[in-house]
Amino acid sequence: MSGSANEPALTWDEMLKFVRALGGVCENIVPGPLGRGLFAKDPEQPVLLKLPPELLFDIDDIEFVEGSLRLKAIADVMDAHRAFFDRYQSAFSWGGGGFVESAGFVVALDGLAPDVRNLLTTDFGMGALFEGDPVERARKLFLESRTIQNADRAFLAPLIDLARHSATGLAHEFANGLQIQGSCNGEVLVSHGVYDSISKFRPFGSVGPEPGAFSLPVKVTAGVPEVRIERDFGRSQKRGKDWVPILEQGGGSIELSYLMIGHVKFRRLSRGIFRTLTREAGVNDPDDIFDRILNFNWNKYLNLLAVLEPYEGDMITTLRKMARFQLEAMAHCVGSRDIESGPAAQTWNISIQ
Amino acid sequence: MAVPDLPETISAHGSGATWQEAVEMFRRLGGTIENIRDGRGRGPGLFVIDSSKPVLLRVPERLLFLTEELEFQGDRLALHEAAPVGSAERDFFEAYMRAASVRHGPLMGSTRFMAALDALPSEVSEYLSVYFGMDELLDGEPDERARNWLLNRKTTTWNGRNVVVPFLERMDDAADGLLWRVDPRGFLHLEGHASGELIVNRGPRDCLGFFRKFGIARAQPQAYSLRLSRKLEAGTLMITRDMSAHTLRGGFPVPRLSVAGDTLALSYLMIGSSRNPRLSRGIFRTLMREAGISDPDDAFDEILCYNRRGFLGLLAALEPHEGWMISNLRGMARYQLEAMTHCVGAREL
Repeated sequence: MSGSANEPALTWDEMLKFVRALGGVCENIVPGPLGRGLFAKDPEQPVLLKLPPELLFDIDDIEFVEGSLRLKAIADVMDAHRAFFDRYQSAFSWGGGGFVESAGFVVALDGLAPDVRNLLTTDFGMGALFEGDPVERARKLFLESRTIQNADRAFLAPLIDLARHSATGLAHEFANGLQIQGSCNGEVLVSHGVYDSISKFRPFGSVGPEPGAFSLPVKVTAGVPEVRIERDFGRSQKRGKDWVPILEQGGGSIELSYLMIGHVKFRRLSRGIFRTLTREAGVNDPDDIFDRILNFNWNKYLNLLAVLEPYEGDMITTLRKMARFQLEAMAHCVGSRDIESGPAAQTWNISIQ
Repeated sequence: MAVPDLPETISAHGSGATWQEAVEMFRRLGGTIENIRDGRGRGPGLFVIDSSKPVLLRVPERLLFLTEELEFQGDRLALHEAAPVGSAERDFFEAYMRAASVRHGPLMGSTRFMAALDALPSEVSEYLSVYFGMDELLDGEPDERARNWLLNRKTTTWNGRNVVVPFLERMDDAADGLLWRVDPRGFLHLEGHASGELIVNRGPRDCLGFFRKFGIARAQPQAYSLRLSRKLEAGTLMITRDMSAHTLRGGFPVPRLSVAGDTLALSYLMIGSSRNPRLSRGIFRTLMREAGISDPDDAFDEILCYNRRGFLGLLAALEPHEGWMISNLRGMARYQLEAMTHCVGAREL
């Protein structure tokens, strides 16, 4: 059995019955009035949303067919789950506002002035947002914004994917499936991963303050060794209680998989991490290099604000906010504190955007 | 570029007899003005006549007019009747101001500037007042503010006193402009090569200071901290913005540090310089260590954070709005943040 355009659209209550029949749990949650967003029915009570492994759908198993998002015919999924997925997507996710939201984002991007598009492409690595068929880009953005990754598995999690992201939102809990639970003051916000303002903008098309800021890719050649910073948040390790990037060394250079350059809560950590890791790699004056990286990033975002200055419009305002929120997080880089030295004790198992 | 068909000093274009008369009176009173003409660039200004030759302006002290002895009569700046100024100097000042006012109506521009400030949304005005202490631009009767601001624009500090310097007051200001000095005879002496409009460097200023004095956003090579007061491990640190209060260390101007009880007071603090990126933290480190502060880097970072958040907060307040003054203020905030980015490493003094 598969969901199709011929099936009547599911109501919220019908969909919840479906979820529960398939082993899921959804308590005290109602949909938002405008498409995406979940809310606590009774804000005084905690919410719970639990999906068994069978209700987590591998990205590799899904496809877009004309206007629909559905499971591939070859996907190894039981009929009932297939029916649920197709009808859920049609009524609440891709078909329930997801396409409109993503396509609107693409249209707004395409409406940007050429100098703004060029700058976002060259300095912020956003070229993919502007290249190719608009519908394909909307599909890709939709999947990027909804995909959850745990270890090597990338999947869509129905209902949870409707919740909007907040760094202080409910955490993904992986244990025999996926669940979120806890108290919410109205809207059920979920931490879908670690984002800074620019990485949040990219898939969601929205902006908001994020507690941390991470460096743009940059190569600092002033010292020996050369220092390269990437933005691969999937490569991370734990030192004591702190998550830190992976440092690789060779050929007269060192590479950090990413670099935090400001955090509202952990103001001393950004420089502390850089100092510790690079000193272990034999860098003599890490503060100088760290300051150069800060300088590079500040100038990129300030230049973006300069390029945006002559323009007005919703997307311009969104980009201004994105830059400002990023700079705000970067401003919170104060002092330094040591982190635990020595080899990595644990490998990060959550990949983030 | 040479302009051979013009008189040696002042262009005849539209200047009329009064302007030439003022120049001649200036010379009769001991002043020197060579290779300089009147004109209009980004605003009213002075220009080089022959750029292959240096310009020269020498102003005797008797022709430096104390701002406290000046007042507006209508839209024209004039000397108080009781000002202790000789009649020849008074005649010159009146002729000079008459020529300047007739040609450029400077008060009109100031009045427009005040009107644009008064039209700002209340949350922006409040922010400028609370965070940046711009009350002198925002509070009070608009005409009075316009006059005070215009007078302040024209003011140069000479031996600790505020004076209006004829001709110099008409020049544009920039950090890479010509520097004036006091020559052995006690003249204000400005000399150098220029290619077009004459630009003078009236002293160290950041984007915030430039905006307050001249009303426009323009990039500056350095940024100075906002006024602030912070608790340190052993007392309180207060920072003001008196850039004229400095001493020299290793050839660099550094702020004056005074200690009263458990309060350290810095006359100002540079927090970024595109010319000397290592100097800001270096100066602070040196002064604080000498004052017995063991971890000055933390305090410096806190000051940077406060300043950055201050200007980012202004950008947030401006975000929903449009208009010339909004864009002007955005530019000011952006330039100030940009100057702050030039704070890399530290050098010992």
